[in-house]
Amino acid sequence: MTPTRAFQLFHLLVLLVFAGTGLRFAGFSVIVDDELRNLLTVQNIAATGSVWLTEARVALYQSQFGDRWPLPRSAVGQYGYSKHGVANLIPLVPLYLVQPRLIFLGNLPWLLLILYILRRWQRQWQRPEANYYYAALFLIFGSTVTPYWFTLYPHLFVAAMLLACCHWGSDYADTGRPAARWLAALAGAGMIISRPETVVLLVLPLLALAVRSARARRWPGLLTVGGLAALAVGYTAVLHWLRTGNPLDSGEGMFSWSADGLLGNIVQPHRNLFLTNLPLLLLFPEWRQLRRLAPALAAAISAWLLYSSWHGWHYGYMRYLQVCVVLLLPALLLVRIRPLALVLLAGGLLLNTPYFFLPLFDVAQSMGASDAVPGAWHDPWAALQLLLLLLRGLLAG
Amino acid sequence: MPRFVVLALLWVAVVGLLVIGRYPQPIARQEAQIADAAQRGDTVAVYRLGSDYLARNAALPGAAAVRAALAGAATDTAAVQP
Repeated sequence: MTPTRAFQLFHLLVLLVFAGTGLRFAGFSVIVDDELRNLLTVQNIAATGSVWLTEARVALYQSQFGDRWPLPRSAVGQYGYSKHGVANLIPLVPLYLVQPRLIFLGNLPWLLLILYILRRWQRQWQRPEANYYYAALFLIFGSTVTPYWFTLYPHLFVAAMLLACCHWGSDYADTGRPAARWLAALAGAGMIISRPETVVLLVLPLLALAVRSARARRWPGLLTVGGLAALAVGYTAVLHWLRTGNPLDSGEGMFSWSADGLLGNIVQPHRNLFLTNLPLLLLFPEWRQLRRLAPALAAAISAWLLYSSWHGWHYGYMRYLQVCVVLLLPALLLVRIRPLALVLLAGGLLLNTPYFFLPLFDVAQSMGASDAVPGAWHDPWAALQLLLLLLRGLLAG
Repeated sequence: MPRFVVLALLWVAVVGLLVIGRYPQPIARQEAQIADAAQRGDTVAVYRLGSDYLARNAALPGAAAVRAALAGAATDTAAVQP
């Protein structure tokens, strides 16, 4: 088989796996408040063309989550609306009109964008083709493990935009292509509009890119990067002011870093030892090449800071797993493939296969955990237990 | 394509072929739970599971059976009392 044929076959299989998992799990009990808001917004736009929710949809949301996370009302007209942005939801509306179940494939373009960026980097950095395949494999398994792959959470969109911003910004800083500058700005803006609080993730990579642009004396690039940072901070401050009356207060109790959170997120590799452990994977890159990683590495550090400040860092890790999986990918391109790396990767693949066929939320049910307190999702040995459950079922059958 | 990648994809395919027919997939399982509750006469469960299902999967082929189960439950007035 020629390398081109192998490349095509591999991506055909990737599409099959993602589309298959997405459709089989579509609409299964994965709806939490963030997701229900998105679903209702898509339905609302499809039915009325407006992002202001009808009172019937507001009532449906309030009946489920109104006591814990009430729906905000606009200052003008008192309409109910989803508190996060809708940039990532707009492409889902035509899909919803064709067939409602298709909206659960809405993450597919972002996954393909991530693969495209990886391929470009692999070529630009002149890395062996095998590294691209390992990174792509990591993306497939890492994404399937998180329930967010086939849900309406915008985290995958945010992760793809973050990576795109790093890629195009880096491209501009290195080559001075103006188009790359504007693409980076577009990706950054899309990310901010979709999920305002993730603006923190952009700050460090922007700084890294600003330093590189300044060194190359590319002042328009510096202006774009600075403008994007100002837009990000300004937009977030205005949103906070609208919501709480204080530009510095998001009203969500975030940005209170704790030593527990900061350390816990680094030293607890038992949470999926093989696939999501940044420090572990960083043991393997070729250090001489690490300079290339600067923006993506800065984004990973921002993610670590942001999600360690989350009031629920110790049980909410599934939220950022998707972002972390994506941020680890550029590092994987630099990995020198050693037997130990292969053993780790093989262990991860073996353990996480069941998630392709039984979604994580189903695991919580099969382990008898209630939907409200999903302790079992975060059990360090959940993957192993699930594999044993699967094998036992197969042997008994 | 490295040998490792071929092996990984084959591994997923083999497990998939063994598992998919044996374990009912999520949506099918949810439909079975609703049918089960309807047969038991557990109207509260039919309402809870059925409305949750229809809120997201109204366009699926199984939705007709769920609607029928909900209509059946609606005749039980005790269940709809606040």
